[in-house]
Order: sequence, then structure tokens, then C-alpha cells
Amino acid sequence: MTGPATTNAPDSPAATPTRPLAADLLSLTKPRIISLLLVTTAMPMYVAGSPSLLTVFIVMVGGYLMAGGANAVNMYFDRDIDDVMARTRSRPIPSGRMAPQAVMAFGVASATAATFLLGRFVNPMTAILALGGFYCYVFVYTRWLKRSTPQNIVLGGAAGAFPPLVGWAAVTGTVDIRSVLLFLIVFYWTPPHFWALALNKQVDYGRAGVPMAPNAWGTRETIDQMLWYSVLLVALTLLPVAIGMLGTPYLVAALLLGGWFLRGAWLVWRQRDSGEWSAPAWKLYKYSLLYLALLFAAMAVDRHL
Amino acid sequence: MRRQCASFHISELARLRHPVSSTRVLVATPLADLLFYIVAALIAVSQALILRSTARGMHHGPDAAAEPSRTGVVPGPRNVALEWTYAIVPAIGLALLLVFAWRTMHPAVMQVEGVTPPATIGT
Repeated sequence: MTGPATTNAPDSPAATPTRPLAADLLSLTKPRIISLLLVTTAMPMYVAGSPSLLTVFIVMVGGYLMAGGANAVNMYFDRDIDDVMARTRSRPIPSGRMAPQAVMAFGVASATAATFLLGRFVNPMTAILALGGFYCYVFVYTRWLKRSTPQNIVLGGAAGAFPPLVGWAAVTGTVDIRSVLLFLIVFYWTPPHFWALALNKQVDYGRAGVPMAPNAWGTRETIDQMLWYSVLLVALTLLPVAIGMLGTPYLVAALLLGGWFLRGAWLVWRQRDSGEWSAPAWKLYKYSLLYLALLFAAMAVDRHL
Repeated sequence: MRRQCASFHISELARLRHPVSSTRVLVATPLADLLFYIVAALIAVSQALILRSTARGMHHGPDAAAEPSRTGVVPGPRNVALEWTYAIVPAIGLALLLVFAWRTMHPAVMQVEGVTPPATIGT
């Protein structure tokens, strides 16, 4: 459909590949990424209490619209670098299938609809937190940190950590230390997860001039930090047990899942000097997605045993 | 006696914090304390190593000569003070989390520190 040769040519329909508009709108929301965000939204709802299916459904729809809107606005602001990175060149704007203004309008409309849905049918706190995640992603990560510091993923990871706060607030109407703890688990999961990908996309990020950690600090320091962040993450996942928020079944799951995560980070770290870290980094990246979903599922299961 | 009293209050509070089910398998208080100490130690050590690695990364940057196949070298930021701020803010957040977590675990201890508990409590 679209390939690396596709150029940014919105004024030349002949060069613009055809694709259904609905498919492009869906791709603007980055549905694969959002699926994990929805898991980290829904599971905390069941940790916080016993929500009705209708409430869960509304939060899922609102969460999808908000995150999808943020992703669309992100594509608007990043359209210049999306065009030079192989990974993002086939997106609707750089491939010329959609006008930037249309993408921006879609993103804002989607976020506005989400705010109304969550505020009207769930509670104001949920809407405020979801909107906070939107602003954090668009302005703190995309506009401020992404192109200015290798710490972009560390601090920008806060944007992806809002879903547990949103899910918790949807059930309790408030935020407390337990929901902040879930927020921090996602926050500290982000660096080893994303740097495992960034290690393998250094050429792309270098071409775009984005100072991801491997590009600015070097692979050795990045891999070092991936290991330390993994240790920190696994330690943090045990804290809910210490404060009496979750019990022994979750503790067992957190130790098993975390142990495997640490093993993955260790396998990458072991190859940091040999240069053979690419394959273990890919494995860690893929496992990290499964890890977060299973960890949050274990929380919900433990809470209702 | 004070420890018994604290244990009594913590287990009661734990039940209050979990209205869904009162039969959940929670970790006993001494074990929870031990777990907290282990978590705090791991977090402190790993955070220190992260800061050390950040300092090395800022000062040395990528070794392009050692990584000829990695052509994506991007110059690091020049504002070192700002970079340190970015690095330290999450560490401060973690320290605050540990303080609040400890206070959540031991509200009863703090309440009874200055009060002599009745002899029947904890029996």
C-alpha cells in the first residue's frame, strides 16, 4: 500500500496511495498502542472496586477517544520528522493521504468528545485526569521534551501513566497513594520498554535528530539504565503488597513476571559490549508489553479472589 | 505491648481498606515491613546507579568510533543543569512515595506513640 518511496505530496493525487478514510482515521489513533493503555485503565477499576459494565464501557470508549486524539495531535506536530523516519513514513500526513489541519481537527474533536463523555457520564475527576494525560503527551512530551533531552522518555512516560489514575478515579472519584503507585509502575516501566525499541531504531531517530537515549548517551549507558530501571520497576511492583493494597496471589505473580523481565534486561545488558544486543532487546520490548498487561490483570484478579 | 497494639490496628485498617472482601490473603505486618525495607533498598540503589549512568552519559556521550554501524548519533543537550533537574525530579518523587507508603502502613503506630494503649487491646 504505502512504502518507503512514498513522499509527502498532498497536492499530487496521482502520487497519493488510495486508502479508505476510515482506515486512516483509525491509524491516527494508534490502536495497537491504545489497547495496552486500555488494559492499564480497566484493571485499576477492578482494583479500586466493583464497577458496573456500563461504567467500564464508557471509560474504555472515553479513554480510547482521548488517547486517540492525543496520538492524532502528536502526528500533526511530528509530521516533519515522521517524513524522514522509515518507521513513520507511511502515516497519513507524511504519505500525503490526509491534510495536517484535518488530522489536528480530528484529534481535538476526539479529545473534546472524550472529555464530555467522561465528565458527563462518569465523573469530573476522570475527565480532568484523562485531559491531563492528553496535555502531558501533546505538550510535555511531544512539544517540550521529545526533541530537547534524552530524558524525554523518562519524564514523558508520565503521559502514558495517566490511565491507571483515570480508571481509579472513575470508580472512586478521587486519587490516593494506591492510584499514584499504579501510575508510578507504568512510569518506571516506560524507560526499559521504550529504550529496548529505541536501541533498534537509532538510525531512524538519528536521521530525525531526536535525542533518544541511545543516540545521545550511547548504547552502553542506555543498556545500563535499562537494567537499573528494570530493578527499580520490579521493586516498585512489590510495594502494593507492603502497604496492604494487594495480597499474596499478586505478590507471586509480580515476582514471576518481574523475574522474567529482569532476565530479559540482563540478557540485553550482558551483550552491551559485544554489540549483540539487538535480538535480546527486541525480545525484551515484546515481553514488556505482555508483562504490563499481565501484571495489571494479576492486580484485578487478586483484588477479587 | 505497643507492637501488639500496632499490629491490631494495622490489620483492622487493612480490612477497612479492602471493603470488597474481608477474606483476602494479605501479607502479615512483619513481613510487609521487611518487604518495604527490601523495596526501599532496591529503589535507592537502582536510582543511585541511574543517576551515575546519567552523569556518564552526559559527560561522554555515544562513542561513534566504537559503534561504526550505529549512525544515529545525536548531540546531547548542552544545558547540564536542566538535564540534572530532569534526572532528579523522578528520584524526589520516589522518595516521597516511600514516605507516604510508610505512613500508610503505620498510621496506628503514629497514633499510639504518645498514648498508652488500654491493656485489653491486642488480645
